[in-house]
Amino acid sequence: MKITDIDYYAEYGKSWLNRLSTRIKMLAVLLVIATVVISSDIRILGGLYLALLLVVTFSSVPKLKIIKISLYPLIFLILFLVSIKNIVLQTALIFIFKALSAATSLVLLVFTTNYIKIFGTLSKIMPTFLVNVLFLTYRSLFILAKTFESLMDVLKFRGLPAIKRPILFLKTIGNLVGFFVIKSMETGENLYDAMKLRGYSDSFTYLKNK
Amino acid sequence: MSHLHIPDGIIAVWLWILGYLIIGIYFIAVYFQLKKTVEYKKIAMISVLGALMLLSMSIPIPFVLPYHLNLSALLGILTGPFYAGLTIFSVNLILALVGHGGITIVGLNTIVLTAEAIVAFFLFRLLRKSFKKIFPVAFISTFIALVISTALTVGIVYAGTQNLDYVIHKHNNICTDCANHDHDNDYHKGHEEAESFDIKRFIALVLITGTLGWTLESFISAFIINYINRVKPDLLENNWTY
Repeated sequence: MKITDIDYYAEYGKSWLNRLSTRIKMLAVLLVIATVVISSDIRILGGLYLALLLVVTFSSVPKLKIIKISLYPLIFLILFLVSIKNIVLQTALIFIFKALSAATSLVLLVFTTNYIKIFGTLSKIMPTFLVNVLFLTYRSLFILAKTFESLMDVLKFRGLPAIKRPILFLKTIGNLVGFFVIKSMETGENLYDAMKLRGYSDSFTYLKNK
Repeated sequence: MSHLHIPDGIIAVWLWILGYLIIGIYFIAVYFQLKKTVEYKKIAMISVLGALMLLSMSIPIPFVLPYHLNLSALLGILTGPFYAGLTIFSVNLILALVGHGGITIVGLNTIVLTAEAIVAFFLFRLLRKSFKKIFPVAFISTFIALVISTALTVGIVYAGTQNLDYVIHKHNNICTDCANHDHDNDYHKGHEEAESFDIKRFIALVLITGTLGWTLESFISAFIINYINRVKPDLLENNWTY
């Protein structure tokens, strides 16, 4: 799942969650994270995850996509759980509910909230230069995505060397990313020139208005 | 494996708060540096490189396990040690927002990956003086940086989960008055076999999955740097960031 696709749902989604105030949604996420960090009660954590699943179920959001992305933390969690000696089911479930609850709440936030609104809210608590970097990184994703997709198409049409020839395979990927690095640096230069022409000093005015 | 994909609620609270505090101090230094130099161009360049890292992570590398690139070492070599942390923080925060690693772990993750970038930067500069060919220099710098950052990751996981009771408060639920119990009875025999984090097992798993990952990342980073050196060598001179 690409970040650019997530942004589409955040911008054009029609669910009641999309209409909810960003501040309320971010406070709800904070509450979920605090519960995950503080609580070790399987009933509370299980209840929390169930509640989040109910929110996903009863909202017109891309349910399967949200659940699929929120399951990602399980990959590392399995590695961690395997490293615990004499682990019992209850402990495993506590960690699983913690991981899934936190991930689901965050994924729900980004699927239903425009990134400008998220960074606009963050700008009230974070230093300006940091919010600028976050905003520009996210914005640059969309600028670079087109170049990246073209490169991936080139790779698809020309065909990647077989894995049986690993050095050639890695060299092709390396050359591709190398080209992408050079293009990105050029994009960075152009981006800065555009910012300067539009009067950028040290902050983005429209982030403050959100 | 060189960075933490740990979800929220696993690492001890004191440790991730410490991670954020260290990163906070780093941000104060960056703030004063930016104020002094008024080099806002760095903000744009850093951000674009962050986007590059995020996009490059989606390139599929199907070697036994599905790996993804991390590029922190490459970032360190390109931007220098001071500003790499800013890119890494923004990448980690955006990744955490899409469920890739916990939001509480962002500070610690930034420390681990910035350490990787710093090691790669200094090794690259150091080895470049001794080797003629750039490929082995880039490969060795990246590989050592990855090994060091993975060691840091293991150390953080160990420190943050050393006392699992602290993390899951389990001990309090099982044994409320341990001081009054006979420590030879059956209950405590069972209790001795309580859950504990086996660091050796964790290291073994990390080494199994990590070694291949380090090699792949080092090869790809070396090919990237080799390509940049042929096409636009001035990008490797670090004259705009250090």
